[in-house]
Amino acid sequence: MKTKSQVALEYLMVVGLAFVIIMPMVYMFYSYTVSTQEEVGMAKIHKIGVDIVNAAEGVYYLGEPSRSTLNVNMPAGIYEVEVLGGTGYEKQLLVFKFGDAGFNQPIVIPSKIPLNIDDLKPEDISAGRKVIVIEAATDGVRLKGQS
Amino acid sequence: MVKRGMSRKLYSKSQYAMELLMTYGWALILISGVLGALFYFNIFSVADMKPDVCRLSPGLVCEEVVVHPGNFSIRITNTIGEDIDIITGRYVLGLPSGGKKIKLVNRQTGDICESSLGLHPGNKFVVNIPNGASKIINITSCGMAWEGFTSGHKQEFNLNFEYEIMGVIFDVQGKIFTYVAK
Repeated sequence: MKTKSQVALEYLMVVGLAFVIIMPMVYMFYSYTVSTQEEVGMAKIHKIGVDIVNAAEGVYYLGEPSRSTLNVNMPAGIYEVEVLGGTGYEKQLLVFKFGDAGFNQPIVIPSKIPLNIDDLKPEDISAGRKVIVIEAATDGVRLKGQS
Repeated sequence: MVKRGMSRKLYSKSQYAMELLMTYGWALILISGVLGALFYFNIFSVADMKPDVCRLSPGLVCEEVVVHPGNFSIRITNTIGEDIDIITGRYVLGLPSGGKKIKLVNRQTGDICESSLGLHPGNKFVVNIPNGASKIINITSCGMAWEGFTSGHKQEFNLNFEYEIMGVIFDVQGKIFTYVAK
């Protein structure tokens, strides 16, 4: 009986010590992973944006009817994409808006050429594998999704 | 005979206990002291073990950040591809109360360290960072509410500011996790 209780107590002590060591490590790992996911998502969008602008500049200088397609893996979290350009500027900005209700971050990629995203639908920027078609037009470069 | 046996048994038990304490007591005292010292130097502080984070927006690289109770400085490199102006203070509708500033918010306590606006409304205070260049921004006046910036420990902050690129203004919501220097 005495030996049994000793075994139980020693078991509890060993398991308890392991628990005390493992729990903070799990907490650290989890919190670090969550913050890294956000960072990776933003970096992915930035890379996709830069690829789109580079391809757009390529087809723009080749002229009509040049066309290029990009296979991209859109991360979750993009809720809007827009093209902005201040008055008096020839260049434009391709802006991806990333985040959720509590956090939003614009990801800005400058473009040397005019971009047109009128044909880009919300499903073209939702999470998953997408094909973005980039084609030269008279008014610049047109971006659209391929279903 | 029985009585003598019992007393011997009792005597040996207490002797064992005493010898155990004598042998391992020193080790216990030593271990307690070491553990106390480790706690004192925050070795067991899980939050302080996490790596530093300074994240702004893709294209705006936070190279270095130093937070003190009362001021902070950050070195930002512009890799966006165009020159930018970081707005350190701006009046909205001519009123300083509605002004936009650089704001460092402690996520646990809610305490804020923000840039102070100048006395002349209508001005926009900016730090220009050419494409590919780095600049240090120092915010030296945190106002009154900096009690929550406990020095000597790592803390989590939100860094909010605006920047202007090609005439368009964007908000940045950065995240910082670093030591508050003493």
